[in-house]
Amino acid sequence: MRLIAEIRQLAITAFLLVVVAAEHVQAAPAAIHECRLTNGMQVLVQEDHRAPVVAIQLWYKVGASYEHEGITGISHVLEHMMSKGTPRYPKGRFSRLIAANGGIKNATTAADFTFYYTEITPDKVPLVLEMEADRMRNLLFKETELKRELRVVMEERRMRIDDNPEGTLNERLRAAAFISSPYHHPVAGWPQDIRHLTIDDLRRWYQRWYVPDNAALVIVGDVNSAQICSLAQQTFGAVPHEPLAALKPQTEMPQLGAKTIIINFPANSDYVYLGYPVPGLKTASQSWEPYALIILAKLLTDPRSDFQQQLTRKQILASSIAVEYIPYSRLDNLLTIKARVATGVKSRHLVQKLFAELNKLQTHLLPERQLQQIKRQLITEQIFEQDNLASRAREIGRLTAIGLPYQILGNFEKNINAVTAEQLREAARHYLTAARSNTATLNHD
Amino acid sequence: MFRYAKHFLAALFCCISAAAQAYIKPQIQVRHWYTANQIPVYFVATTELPILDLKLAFAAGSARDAQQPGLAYLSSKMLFNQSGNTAFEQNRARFSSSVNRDKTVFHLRAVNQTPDIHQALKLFAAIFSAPDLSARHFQTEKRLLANKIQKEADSMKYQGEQNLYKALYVQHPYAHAPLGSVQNIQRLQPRDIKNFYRQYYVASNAVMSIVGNITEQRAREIAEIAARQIPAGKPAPALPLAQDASGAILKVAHSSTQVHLFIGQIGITPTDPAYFPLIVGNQILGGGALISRLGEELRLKRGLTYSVSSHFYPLAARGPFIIKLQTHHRQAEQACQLVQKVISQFVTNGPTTDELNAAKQKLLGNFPIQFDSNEEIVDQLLEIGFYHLPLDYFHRYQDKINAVTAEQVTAAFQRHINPAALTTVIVGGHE
Repeated sequence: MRLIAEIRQLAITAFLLVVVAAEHVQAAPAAIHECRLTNGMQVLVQEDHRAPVVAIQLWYKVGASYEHEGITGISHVLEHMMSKGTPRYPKGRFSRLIAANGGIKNATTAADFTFYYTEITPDKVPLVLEMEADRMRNLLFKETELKRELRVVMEERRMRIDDNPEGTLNERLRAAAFISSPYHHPVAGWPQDIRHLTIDDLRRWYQRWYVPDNAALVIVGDVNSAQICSLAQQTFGAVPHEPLAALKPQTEMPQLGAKTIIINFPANSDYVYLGYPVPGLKTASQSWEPYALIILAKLLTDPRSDFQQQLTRKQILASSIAVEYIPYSRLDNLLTIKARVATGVKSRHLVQKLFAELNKLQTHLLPERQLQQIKRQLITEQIFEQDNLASRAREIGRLTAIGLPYQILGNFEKNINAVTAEQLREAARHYLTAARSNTATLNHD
Repeated sequence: MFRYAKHFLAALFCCISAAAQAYIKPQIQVRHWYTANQIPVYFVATTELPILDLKLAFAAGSARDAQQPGLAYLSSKMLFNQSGNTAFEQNRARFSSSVNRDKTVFHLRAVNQTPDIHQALKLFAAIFSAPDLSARHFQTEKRLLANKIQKEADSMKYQGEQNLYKALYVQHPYAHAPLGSVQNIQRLQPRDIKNFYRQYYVASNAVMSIVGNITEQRAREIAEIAARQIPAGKPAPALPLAQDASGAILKVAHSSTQVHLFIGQIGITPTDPAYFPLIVGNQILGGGALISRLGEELRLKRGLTYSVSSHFYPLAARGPFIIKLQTHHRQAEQACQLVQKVISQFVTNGPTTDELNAAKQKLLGNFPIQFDSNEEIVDQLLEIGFYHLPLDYFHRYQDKINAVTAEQVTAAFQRHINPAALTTVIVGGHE
């Protein structure tokens, strides 16, 4: 009797242990394998066998911030031209081959990088790598194609910026905030630069920057890391090493005082954008600063924060306030507060109140409970981001593209948790001051 | 070992099916049961990520607003004070809601770790028995909704889409925008919300989908917890099917250099027999973005636009077919005429053999890729449940695509698309 009771007790305990073990799951992402090809190209692979799908991203370390006046927008136009074919794979062939295999294909140009993205079944990975390696050095440049593509790019600019109140406001803010930094000009480029790009300009830009040393291949999905490395060597490894031309230093002139601009633009309300120059993961002199800024940016958008309550709830000076901060910037960038002015409110009144609330961050310490909540939210969101293969590949790619180690991703939780309320206040005192502010107001009347 | 078995099985399936094209099928096993209060549940187990996704939908979309546009949307927001309550975040979860014309969907996304997951589920269940209908919350949500509507006034995309729906559906419940209008919102009272809950947030009007790294047993437990507080109620009556629109041109003022064009007509329900021929045909016409007739004529050949596409949006009472593009206002007429020409030619002559094969290959190959995340699977499960699609959807979809012939595409388009009666909305162009 007693023996059976003991066995039953053991069985229950074992069952509970099993249940608990099953529930306690590892939140850390799978390991990332790195290899470097003989020609200098980087390859990063993360296995994920949930579905027979692979996300392939080829990152080129060139973007709008590598450009100078006269050829702004060229990296973006080159991205468009990359679909115009090579001798081996004529125009449309790449797209049709991907489509024929059910894959998805896309590309993005940003200030610090350009990347080409394909999502496809594992058996087609060799084909994709072959085609990407081919168009890395063998792209055809035709005048007629460029002419047509420039029209498309102009339509894209109109859609995203020229006809868009916030698009225009952001473009003007950044142009005012950045004096000598290449973040001064937009990724889309200035219209007259776009219109005057020649086929020679494009070819030169391509030959200079689309070299193995300046590229990183990021693959996340149903693959075997070792196999990918050897496949990459077979395809991309054949592309000869080219010396990478150095980029001249691009330092921003120190901001000597507050800047204000006003633009008149048709819209249904006024908008106020506040931009503060801040460091990122690459440029911060103290390693905790970017994480403090990530927390600050999150805090400022939290509906329960004092900031939001004072501006959009208790008093309604803004109908909405969003915040943008990009920690993976190659150079010092902006932390931008984007507010839509509430109906009947004068924009300068909102500006005054924004400054007053930001000042509080310099004097008050955030209560510990609130700080923990924000940290928890950020970490939870990072876990949710793991659901998507493409976003995981992007996380790896955008660090690699600016020369930072991917290990930073694995330390995100630790670094966020390490930030103290004092550090938040110090970051606010250092960076969110009136003397460093850039205010852009859109007047819609 | 399991991975190879998976691929072997997939290969086996593709050889067994008497298909001209080989394709990999997603290895998604759907489990289905009913909660104690009769809510149908659809579940797929995934591995590798400690994330649970649960979606609960009610046939309570804006089509149920009756004479009060915005009611469904405001009701969905009133259920839980998202901007005032940190309870979900504290338990490593996220609560969100969305409303379209057919349904209201509540989404719980949680990190699957104890004790957080237990708390998150309890919270989720509790809001259905105790929504925050305080005056303060009500005023806040009304104001947030009014702000949202005003913000959309700056969006040419929103203006175009909603005006197209209005022009197509006229008096039908699908006509008005789910957000409603600022005047309508002001008139809503807490009792309107309560009545809406009583009528529509009921078990007999609900569907649930669950995806996560859990066993079916655990999923059944979770479904019970989530559904427990929802009263039985009665299912919402079927909506009247929309009647074809007569075709008109509507201009919406907006100061811009481009015009945004929305061209369409009334389309199909998710269970229309012509669904698969129309999907394949649409891929050729404009669904394939650059690799499509519209993409070829408007962007690749003439550089008139950055983005052009066509889509069917099947809804319970016949959702629309919409073509969208943007172009410089001086090119508006040329673009409209070109779209008209492309559609007419396609409806008259149908697809070429090459086009048909390419479209099928794309759709067949793309299908498993579409379901590589929890989010995508839980969404599709909900569609299967809400629209009574077959349970073997993930397994049979590609077979059905593969079986489509050129004749079927041509017949389907001739039956469903009338190039002479397309409704056009032109937004912008007034500088």
